This record gives sequence, C-alpha cells and structure tokens, in this order.
Amino acid sequence: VIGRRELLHGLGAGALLGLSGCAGLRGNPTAARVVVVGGGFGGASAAKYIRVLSNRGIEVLLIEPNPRFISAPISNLVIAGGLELDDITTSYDGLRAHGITIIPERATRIAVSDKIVTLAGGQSIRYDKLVLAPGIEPIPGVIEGLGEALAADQIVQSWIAGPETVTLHRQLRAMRDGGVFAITIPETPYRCPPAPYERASLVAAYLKIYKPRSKVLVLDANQDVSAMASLFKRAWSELYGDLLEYRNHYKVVAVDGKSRTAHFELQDDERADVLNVLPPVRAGALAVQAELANVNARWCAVDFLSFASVLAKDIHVVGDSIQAAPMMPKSGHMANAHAKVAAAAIVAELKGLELDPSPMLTNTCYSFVSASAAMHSTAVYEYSAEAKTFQVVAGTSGVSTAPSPLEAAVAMAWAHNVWADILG
Amino acid sequence: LAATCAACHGTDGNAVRGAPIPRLAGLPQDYIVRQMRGFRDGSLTATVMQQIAKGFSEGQIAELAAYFAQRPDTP
Repeated sequence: VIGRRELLHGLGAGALLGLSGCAGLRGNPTAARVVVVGGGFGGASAAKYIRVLSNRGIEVLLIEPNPRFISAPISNLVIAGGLELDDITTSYDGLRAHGITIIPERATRIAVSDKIVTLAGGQSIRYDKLVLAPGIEPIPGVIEGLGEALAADQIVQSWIAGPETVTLHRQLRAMRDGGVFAITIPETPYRCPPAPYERASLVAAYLKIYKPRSKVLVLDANQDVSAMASLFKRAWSELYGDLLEYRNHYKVVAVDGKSRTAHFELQDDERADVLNVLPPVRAGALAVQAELANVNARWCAVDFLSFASVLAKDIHVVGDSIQAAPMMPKSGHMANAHAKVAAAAIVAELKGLELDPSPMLTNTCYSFVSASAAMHSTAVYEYSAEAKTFQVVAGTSGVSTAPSPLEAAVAMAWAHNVWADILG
Repeated sequence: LAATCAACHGTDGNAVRGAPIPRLAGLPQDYIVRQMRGFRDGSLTATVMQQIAKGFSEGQIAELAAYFAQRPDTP
C-alpha cells in the first residue's frame, strides 16, 4: 500500500487536478475510494451508479482524457450528415454534480498487486476498487499499411466516435458523384454488431440523394451480415438497389493509403474513393498492459456476478473489453447494464454486504436503415448460478418485423435517455 | 432491478420529456402491472416491450411497479 505522503507527492499538484477527495483531507478517513478508468458508456455509468447506490458514501475518481462524452451509438448519423458531432456530445458536469472527481488525463499503467493506477503525467493514484472500462483498440499489425494510412487521413476507421467521425463525413461529402465508398468489416466479435451495416445504409441514403451515380461497397470478412441479416438485406434491396453492394468473405490483410486500395486474403484488390477500414479489435490498451485480456489475448474474462476480473478481484471490467457471455453483444446499452451490476457489487463489497445473487441485464440496439427508419434487436439476460454466466431469458430475444419511422423516433429517445442515465 | 429499466426510461423512471418512451416515475402501480402483463400476453403492442416484459416474473413486475409508483416525477 502506498503511503499518504507518497500519494500526495505522486499526485504533485493535487489541488490543481481537483483531487480534493484524498482520504484524510476531508475528515473521512474510512471512505473507500473507487477509481474508474474510461468515461464511456460503461465507465461513466459505473462512476455515477457507485455514487448513487452508496448515497455518495464512496469516493469516486474518473480518469478520462477527453473533455466531453461523445457517443458511439448514433454517431453513424453524423458520418452521413444528419446530425453534428455536438448533437452526440455531452458534458461531464452531471457527473461532477454527483461529487465525482474527473481527472482529465490518460491512465497508462495499472500495478495490479499494489492497487495503483499511473497517469501519463507520472502521478500515481491508489484505489480500493478499480473499474476498468477501456473500450477497444485495433489489434496492432493485423492489416499491413493501416497505421501510415490512418496517420495521413487517407483511410479512416472510426471505431471510436470523435474526430474520425467528422473526417469520414468530410470525405463522404468531398467524394465525386460516381465514386465508390467502401467499408470493410472484420470477423466477429467486434464492437456493436449492426454498426457497420447501419453505417453502410446511412451512407447509401446520403448518396442516393446527393450523389446517385455513386456506390457503397460492403466488404465483409464474415460469411454473412452478422446482425439482423435479413432485415438489412431486405432494406438494402428495397431502398438502395444497385447503389449498395454486399460481398462476404472479404478479409483485409493490407491497405495502400495513397491509392485507397484494400488487399484481401482471398479476393481481388478493391480501390475506392473513400475507404473505411474497420480493423479487428481487442480490449483497450490498459487492459492489455495489465495482462487482464486473458481470452485469446483479446478480451478480459470476468466473474459475471460482479464483473470482477477473474485475475484480479478488485478490478471490475465492464463494456466492450470483456469476454462476453453467449448471445451478449458488445454494445453501449450492454456496457451501461454491466456497469450497474458492477456498481452494485462494488458498493456491496465495500460495505460488507451480500452480492445480489441474481442480477439481470437488458439490451436494446437500434439501427437506422435510412435517415427516417430504424429497427431494433433486444433481449433480457439473467444470471445463472449453475452456468456462472448470463443467459437470455426465453422469449425475450428478437428483432423488429420491419424498420419504421416510429422506431427511428424511439431510437433518438433511447439515446437521450441513456445519455442522461449515464451522465445526468 | 429497476436499474435495468433506466437506460431507456431514465434514471429512476424520469425519462427525457416529450419523447415517445414513457416516464415511469409516479405512474400508478396497477397501471404499470397491467401494461407489463399486456405486453407479455400480446394484448398490448409495443416496439420492444413485448419482448422485454417476458424477461420479468410476476413478482419482479410487482416490485418494479411499486418502486416506480413511489419515485418522484422530477423535471
């Protein structure tokens, strides 16, 4: 355990960082401290719910370098021009109002046995419990040439909402009529199964109006559309016809940024005017550094009763970086649901109470097929003590019968409500 | 358990106003129970609740309805 002097010294300008909550300084030496790394759907939800469920009795520090929350769900509408980045951006002030201290830095290292997180600036922070919500990162070295092409903005991936979302929108707008917008999709599992297909749909909707001689080429490493397959395919043929072409078994192995060409394992090269490459991903860098991504060197295995890492009982991992339960998608809604179970478990453990033996999760993913029609995939999950995992409750898993304007309105309402549930 | 509703219906049932997703805070307990039963048996139609309602037992629905009925409807 790190000494207080060392901690304060390590924090350096503690006051500057707004770290008013050091145990002892507030006259509350027994207050436990939870550090949350990552302020996305999972981490921010966990931070808020730990404060709410503990009646503000547990100190929460949130380490997040981005000044504002930018939502990946709904971001495909920004790529296609229906919304601005501001429309999917929310301030962290709501979390501050819950008494959460936000540290606007990147965490670079976890010392698991010492229970210390180190920041990019070199400061160290001690925790009693850590919530690790690092999201995803591209697996390095899988696609030759991708790093250089991304650095030069010749190719965009946009797995993570933010500047890349805007870059991809600009490239789409700048594309000539008659051009090809190609999107490549990695093998499952990846973040948000329907997202690439939604993106292709919305780009096609944009092109149909503004650049109708153009084409969307969907190049999928999978055998088939990996979410809501029949609904997407029907929507594509009804709405876009020849403007959108889907091809399976297209696994990218290399790219050339200058000519915007993708090279595939089995198929001929494809050259595009805008090339959106979605590379294979794994748990975010910090999980990999801490050696918690123990499943295929990609995902973090957790105890689903508490979302504690199977390798470190005081590190709770939530969101896209975990090895998911069967039929559990990597989605923002699911990360929010993980976070609530983790938060309840953390509060119970720190207060010496029993864990909820039968937690439940819900998930709803809305996907737009055009600017005015959306559809859903939803399910309810319950914890099975025998299987030690979450299982879909019979009868709850399913999708829309067809996309509709009503579900487009509900999708936007969902977004505003979930953002408020995470950050409000 | 009520937190499983919050992503769509708002923290403690206080959804964003004016949206097509109903606020649950302060709704009558009986009304919530009737709606959930209706979604489950198919007599009420919905976008997602006909699926989600099947995930909760009678006892859980009663608990949820009692909880949300007592939540303050905040602005």
